[in-house]
Amino acid sequence: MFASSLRAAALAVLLAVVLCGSVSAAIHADQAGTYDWHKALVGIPKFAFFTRPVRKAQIYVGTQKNVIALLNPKTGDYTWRQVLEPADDLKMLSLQDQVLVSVSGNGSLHTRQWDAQTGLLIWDHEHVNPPASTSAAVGRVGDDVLLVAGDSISRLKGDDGTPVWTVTADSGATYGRIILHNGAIYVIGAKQISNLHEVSVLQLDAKDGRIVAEYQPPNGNVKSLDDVVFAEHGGKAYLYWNGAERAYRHALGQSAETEEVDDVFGIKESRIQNVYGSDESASDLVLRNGKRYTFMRSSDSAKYTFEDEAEPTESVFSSFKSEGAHYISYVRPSPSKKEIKIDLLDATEMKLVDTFSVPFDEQISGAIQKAFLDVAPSKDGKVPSFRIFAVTADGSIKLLKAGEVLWTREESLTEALAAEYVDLPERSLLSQDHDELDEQPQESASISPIERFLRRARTHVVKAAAYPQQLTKSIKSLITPPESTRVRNDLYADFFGVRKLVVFASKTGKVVALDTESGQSVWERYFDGIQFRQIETVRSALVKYPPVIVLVGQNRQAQTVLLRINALTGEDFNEDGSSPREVFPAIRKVIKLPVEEAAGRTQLISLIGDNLKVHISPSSAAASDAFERFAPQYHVYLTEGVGSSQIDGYTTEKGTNNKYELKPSWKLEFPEGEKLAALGSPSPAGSAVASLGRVLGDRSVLYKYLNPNMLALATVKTTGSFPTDSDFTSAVYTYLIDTVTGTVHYRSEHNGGGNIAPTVPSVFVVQKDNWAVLSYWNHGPEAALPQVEPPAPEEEVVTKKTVRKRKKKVSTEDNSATIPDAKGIEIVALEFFESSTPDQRVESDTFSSFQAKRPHVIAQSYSFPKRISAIGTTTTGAGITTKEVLLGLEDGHLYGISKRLLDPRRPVGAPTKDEKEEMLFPYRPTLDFNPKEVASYNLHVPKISHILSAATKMESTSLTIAWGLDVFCGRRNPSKTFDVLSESFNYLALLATIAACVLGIGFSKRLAERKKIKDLWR
Amino acid sequence: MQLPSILISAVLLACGFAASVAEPIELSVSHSLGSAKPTPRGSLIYDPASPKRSANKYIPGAAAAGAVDSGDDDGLYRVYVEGNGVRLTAAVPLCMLTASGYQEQMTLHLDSKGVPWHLDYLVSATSCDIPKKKQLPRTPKTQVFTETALAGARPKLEQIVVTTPDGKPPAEQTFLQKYWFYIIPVMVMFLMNSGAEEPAKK
Repeated sequence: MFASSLRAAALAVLLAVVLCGSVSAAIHADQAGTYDWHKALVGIPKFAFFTRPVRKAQIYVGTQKNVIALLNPKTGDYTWRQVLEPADDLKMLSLQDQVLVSVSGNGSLHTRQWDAQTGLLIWDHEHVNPPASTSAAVGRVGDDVLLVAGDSISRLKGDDGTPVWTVTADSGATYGRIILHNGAIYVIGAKQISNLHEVSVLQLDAKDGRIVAEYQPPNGNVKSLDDVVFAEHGGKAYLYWNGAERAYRHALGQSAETEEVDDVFGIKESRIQNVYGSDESASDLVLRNGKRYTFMRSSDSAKYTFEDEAEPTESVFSSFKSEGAHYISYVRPSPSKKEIKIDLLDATEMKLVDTFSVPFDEQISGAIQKAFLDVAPSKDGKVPSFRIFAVTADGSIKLLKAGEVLWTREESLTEALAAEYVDLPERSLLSQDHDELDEQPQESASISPIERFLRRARTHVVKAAAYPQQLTKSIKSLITPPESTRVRNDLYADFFGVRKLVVFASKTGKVVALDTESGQSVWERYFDGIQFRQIETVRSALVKYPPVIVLVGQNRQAQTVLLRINALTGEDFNEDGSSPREVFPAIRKVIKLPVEEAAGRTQLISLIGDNLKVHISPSSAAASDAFERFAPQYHVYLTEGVGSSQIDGYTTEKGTNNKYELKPSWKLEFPEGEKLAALGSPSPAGSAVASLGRVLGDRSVLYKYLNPNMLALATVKTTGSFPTDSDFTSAVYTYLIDTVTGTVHYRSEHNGGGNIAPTVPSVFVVQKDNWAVLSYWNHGPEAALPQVEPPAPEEEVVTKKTVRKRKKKVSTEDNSATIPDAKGIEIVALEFFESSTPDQRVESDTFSSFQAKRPHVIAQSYSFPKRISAIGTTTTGAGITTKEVLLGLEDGHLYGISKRLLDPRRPVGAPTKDEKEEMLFPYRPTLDFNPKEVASYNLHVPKISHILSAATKMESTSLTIAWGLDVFCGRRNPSKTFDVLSESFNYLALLATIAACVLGIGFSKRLAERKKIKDLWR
Repeated sequence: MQLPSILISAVLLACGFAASVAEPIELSVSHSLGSAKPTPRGSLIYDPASPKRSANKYIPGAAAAGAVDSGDDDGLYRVYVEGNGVRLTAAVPLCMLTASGYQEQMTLHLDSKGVPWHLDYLVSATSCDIPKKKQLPRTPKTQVFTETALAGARPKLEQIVVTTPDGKPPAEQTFLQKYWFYIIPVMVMFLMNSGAEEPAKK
């Protein structure tokens, strides 16, 4: 009795500390980087230039994430990076004469010139009528910039980007390359004829853009424009391409001439091999004959044939030209696939410099796809040193030199679609050591108490031997400050549970496990041809058993692949006898079930096929038995995701062939015009909720509506395409639906709300426990849908009883207001309770989705001054700590808003005594941007698209990872670190005080005894 | 030439008026068990224009109970609401309907035009077990509700409104007009102190 009241008192104190805690929880300047880490990434290169303008080499990249960056070859860090908007697709990056020009856009088209050394924008030209084209090309005439996009060719002034002339070609070809030769401008394009493309050449006058000639050279059928290579020999400019059976060349300006490459160079069945150059000047020519490669400068000069043979898909050629030096590198894998071989050819002397080996594991990063060569000029005739900037199939980038990999940047993380925390195992837990927790009753009965005692005693003896060492370590850690280098090789959980693994799976097929303390890679693997989209932990870490994760992806045949991995090592997991790799036909949804199979103690995975068949993984008899027991309570909902207009609910039943399949149970078709914009995810049953209700100021309780099947979602209904259109209207609808019955518990309309633009998603939903938070862009009253006047609510007969009832009901006054005439982000907080009346609950021991009892929903809305790109929430072990809604901001921050500020019960106007007692903040319509709440402090973390949190062993602390372009990992303490002593706490003073007290007590005890004896002798 | 357009306007106006004074709408209700074919059960009347709850009701048909009584307890009892080009359906386990004593609730969700787009069908039981002590209601009871989208919560932004008696914005004041009461005392103090003579040097 006493213990329980003590516990209750302790909990009350804890809650008071949590609630009274300040709403802001910034970190001190000296803590920056101590408990967090940041991986600043650039993305997988689409365009790259490895140049040596003076003496220092530089690497410029333009990436799939629309980032332009200058990398330092020494360290791999970027000197500068420019992050374009997510919808501003980078179509072209050009580096000519140290002038960096980019072409980007989606719907619009921007040409920008950048200062190559500082990354500063020099000018930006937006095209008035942008052509709809995915490709673009840039060339230079003097200081001016030539731009080709689709069928439009423009000349822009080099100093400010204003157009000099613009011409539009009516040949029907799409142009994507510019060649300047002998004062003439050649624009190369491809004209689509059925499935093939025909090379098309346009010759222009540089002065006024007049089209001088337009023609298609004979035999000009190519797969795409990328297959066309431009080379110069003997003062002539040539185009080379691989036709269906032969390779051809065409001298620019001579419309009727095309020669077969076999005849020109005397090599039978030759094909053109791509050579990556350091800039966009004329390419070198490498011809392939089977698996043999020959480099040649022209038809009449010397040629060099490389000795080693390799598959064309595995061979990568690159060239380097600077200050008279000319080198060619030939990169291919060794037969063991554990290293690569590099042939370095001095192209001026036509002499092989040497063949080098570099350790390179294809299992980890896949084959090299692009390579860019840099050669440092050698003095005194020594072998020149070279470096190769390589882009591998997994998306990572590396700098290679003879014998070693200088650095690697894990850019595949920018394409990660899923991540999962993996708890590390404890060093030892007595009960787990002996499997006592998982013993079957009959097994427990078979072990005698003596045997159990002896087992435990043995373990204690072993632990006692290691105790002195552990004690020394603990004392040391108290006295010395925390280690700055947090790199540890052992994979065990730490005392506070902040050390975990976070596994990222990307659509490039790369899987990387990072240590959450240091951010360093623990293991990584590459799966060729699999696009990963989901990760599930099917077995948590136990002392004796490793944690197991399942990676879900799609292979090239559009089949769904499930891979079982030991989460600590990254190796295939097949200890339970199940196959580590399972392939299924196209699957719509993969769901982890709250059911374990007995053999391997892994949770089951259910896969819903396109034909509504249910597949179970692992495909063992034990798993089937476990699913058979679970099937009657298995309810599934399926949706096509964002953009779809319906959700379908299903139950399971056994089909004719004794296999489970889905049976439709409900269907939710949104009203006309509404499309799904964002989906929350229901909190799983049994997730940590500290309290079942909210205690109000008058000590009454509002009980939370904790329905594990409640799904919050938002739809958008728009007319017109762009907010600038005159007929543009938009509205966001919030739904709370039960996924078992399809019941719509709540539906509200936010008129004028929507996405900022069709290409910029701005509607986000996050839900937890009994609340949900929605954010959207308010376009203002002018974008509101025309309203139908709603019927007035039914008039009640006012009696004494109803007056009393009204008084007692919790203030849920109408929060709806007119559409704010202020464009910007609005955040809506919703909370669901069992009843609108305090102290009233559903009278039942069980909860059912079929019961006609709807939640009471309270909502309040706020405007927020920043654009949002992602939303998440913190998670703690017991759910006592106030939650925090985490926002990825467009300006490159991870930001936290305390749930206390997003409380829909915040009183409007002066708070009453009860509301003050409840410690509610008075309502303010705006949520101010508080720099102290920026979790990523002064770091720039752009393009956050995912936020994932995990609980630690400290109730106050939630581990948070945000990624999109960069990866940022940090800790959040929404109620401050109430369960952790501060870093500045004086442990020595505490120990000294305790020691002084003990000594004092001993001394005074002795004095007292002596006095007592003396008194007795009197 | 003007006559047809006047006629069209008149027809449209008449339609609009008809819509505004819309009569209650009747939809047929049928039901089925498991995968059986639905059989007629009754009709549902709702009035999208009326705020009164009593305007919505269920009227049982003649052969309503048969399909339910003959069913398998594990099956899903499904209700269909049809009419005016709309067919909506929802289901509950039959055992729960039985446990509730046939106390059911049908909710029609209406779109902005008052057309039903979704049906909720719920019962008053929380499990299939019938408590021994509990007396089940003797007569089945069907409640019918209609729901439309609520106006979502919006930030109550206070707009700055400049009001003058004539409704025009006040004229911009000059620097002196705004701060004369600061400037004058400072100048007076400055003038008063400036007259003092420098003390003679010793």
